[in-house]
Amino acid sequence: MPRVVKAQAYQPAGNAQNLPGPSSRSLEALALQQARRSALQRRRQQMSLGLLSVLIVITAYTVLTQLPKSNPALLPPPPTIVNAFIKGIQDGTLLSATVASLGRVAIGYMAGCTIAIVIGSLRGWFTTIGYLLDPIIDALRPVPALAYIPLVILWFGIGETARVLVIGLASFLSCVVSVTAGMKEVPTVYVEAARTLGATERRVFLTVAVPSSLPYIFAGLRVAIGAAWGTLVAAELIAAQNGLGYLLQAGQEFFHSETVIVALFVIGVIGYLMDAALKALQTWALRWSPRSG
Amino acid sequence: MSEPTAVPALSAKQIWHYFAPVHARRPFLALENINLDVARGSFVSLVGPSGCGKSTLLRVFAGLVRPTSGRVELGGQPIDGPDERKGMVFQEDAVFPWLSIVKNVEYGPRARGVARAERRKLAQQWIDMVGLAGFENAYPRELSGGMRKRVDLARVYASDPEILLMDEPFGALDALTRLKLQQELLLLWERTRKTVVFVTHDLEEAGYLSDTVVVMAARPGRIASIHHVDIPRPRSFDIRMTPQFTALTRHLWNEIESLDEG
Repeated sequence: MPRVVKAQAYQPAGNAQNLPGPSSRSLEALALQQARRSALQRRRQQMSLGLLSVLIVITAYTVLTQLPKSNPALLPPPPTIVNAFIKGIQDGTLLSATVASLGRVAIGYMAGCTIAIVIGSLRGWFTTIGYLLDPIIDALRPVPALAYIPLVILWFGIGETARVLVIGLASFLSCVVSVTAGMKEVPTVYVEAARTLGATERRVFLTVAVPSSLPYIFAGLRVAIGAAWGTLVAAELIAAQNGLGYLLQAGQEFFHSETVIVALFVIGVIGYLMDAALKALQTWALRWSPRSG
Repeated sequence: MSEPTAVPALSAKQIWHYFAPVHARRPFLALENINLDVARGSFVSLVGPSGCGKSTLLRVFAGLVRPTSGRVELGGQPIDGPDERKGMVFQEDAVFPWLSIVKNVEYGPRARGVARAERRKLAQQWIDMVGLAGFENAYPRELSGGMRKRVDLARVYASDPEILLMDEPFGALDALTRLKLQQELLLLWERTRKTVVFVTHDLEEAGYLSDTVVVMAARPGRIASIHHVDIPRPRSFDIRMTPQFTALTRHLWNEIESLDEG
C-alpha cells in the first residue's frame, strides 16, 4: 500500500492516474541512490576542507620561514624538516624512539586501565566497597600523575619501572572515575528484571552492570589513552635515555629545532591514531547501543 | 479437587509498609493492612489513583520490597527476595539493549542453567508465539516500542515463573499498540493460565483482562473493594461494547470517584 502512495506522490499533477509513471521499485532505487550520493558529497566536502586548512597552515609556515628576518635555526624551512624526518627513519632513531615510547605506554595503559575497570566497577556497584575505597581514590585524583614522578624516582630510580608506573597511574586516575559513574548509572529496571528472571547477584553484576556501563568504560578508556600518551612524553622529557620525549629533549639540547618539530609531529599522529583505533573498537563493541551510529 | 486450589497462588496477610524518605518529617504509610488472596490461575488487576500503593504492593509480591510488617506467601511459602518464581513486566523498557532478541528471551533459562540447545528451542517457541519470528538476531534498538514489549512478554514467559506480576506494562505505549498487546496478553494467558497480578490505572484495561479487579484507595494505600468480572472467556474486542462491560467500568469509576471525596 505505501508503495502506491509513494508512486503517486512522484507523478506530475493533473491526470495523475493515467500517466505511465516509473515503477515504485525504480523510485526506491533512485531515492537510495540520492541518499548515498548526498552522503558521499558531505564526506568529500569534509575531506577537501580539512585538506585545505592543513595546506593553509603549511603555506603560512613556509612564508614565515622565507621572511628576510627569519632564523632558519629556530624556524627550519619545510624541506629541512622533511629531510630530518627521512633521516630519522633511515638511521632508525625515530623508529626506535617510537617503539620505546609505544612499549611503555602499552604496558602502563593496559595495567592502569585493567585495574581502573576492576576497582571502578567494584566501588561503583558494591556500596560497601565504595565506602571503603572512595576516600583513597578521591584523595589521589586531584594530584596529576606527573607530580608523583619525584617520589617514584626516589623509590624506584630512573628506570623503566618508574616510567611505566607513572603512565599506569595516569591511565588509572583518568579511567576510574568514568567506570564508577557508569556503574552508578545502571538503570534499576534492568537490575530488577534480571533478578526476577532468577539471576544471582554475581550474574546481575556480570551480565547487567558491566554491559550496561560499557559506554562509560569506553569513554574512560579514551580519556585514559590521551592522558597516558601525554604523561609518557612528559615523563620521558624528565628522565629517559630513549623515546619520543627524549628525542624532544635531545633536539632542544643540540639546537636541532627540526628534530623537535618532527618528534612533535610523530607524537601527534600516534596520539590521533590510537584514539581512532579505540573509537573504532568502541563503535563495534557498542553497536547495540541506541546512541551509537 | 481441593488440593491445589486450597492454597492460593499468592497471598498477602496484614501487610503494612512505611516509606521513610530522608527529607520527610515522618514516615509515609504506603500500605495499610493489606489482606489479599490470589487464586491459582486467575487474572487479578489492581487499580486505583496514583499514590494508592498498587505498584508498591506488586513489588512486595515480587520480593523487590520487603514490607515493614506482615507476611506475603507464594503458594504457602514466605516470599523472601526476588527470584524467577515471581516474573515481572515493568512499565519501562526492560529489554536488555546489549543482547539480541533471542539472547534476551533465553536470559531466564540461562540463569537457571538450562542447556544451550534446549534454551534456544524454548526461546524460539516464545518468540514465535509473540509474532517476532525473523527478529531473533536483531538488537532491541532496531525494534519499535510495541515489539520490545512483546520481547519482554516472551522473556518472562520463557522464564516460566509461578506467577506473573505486571506493573502497568502497556502504560508507555500508544493507544493502538496498547489495544493490540492487551489482545495478545489475553491469548497468552488463556493458553497458559498462569496466575497474573496486573497493575493499571486504565479501568477498561482492567475490566477487559481480569477475573477480579481490586480497587485501592490512597493516603494511606489500602484495598477499598474487590469486584468479580463475570464476562465469559475467551474475550474479544467486541465485549467492550456490551452493556455488561460498560456497566462494569462505570461501576469501577463511580467507586474510585467516591473514594476521592471521602
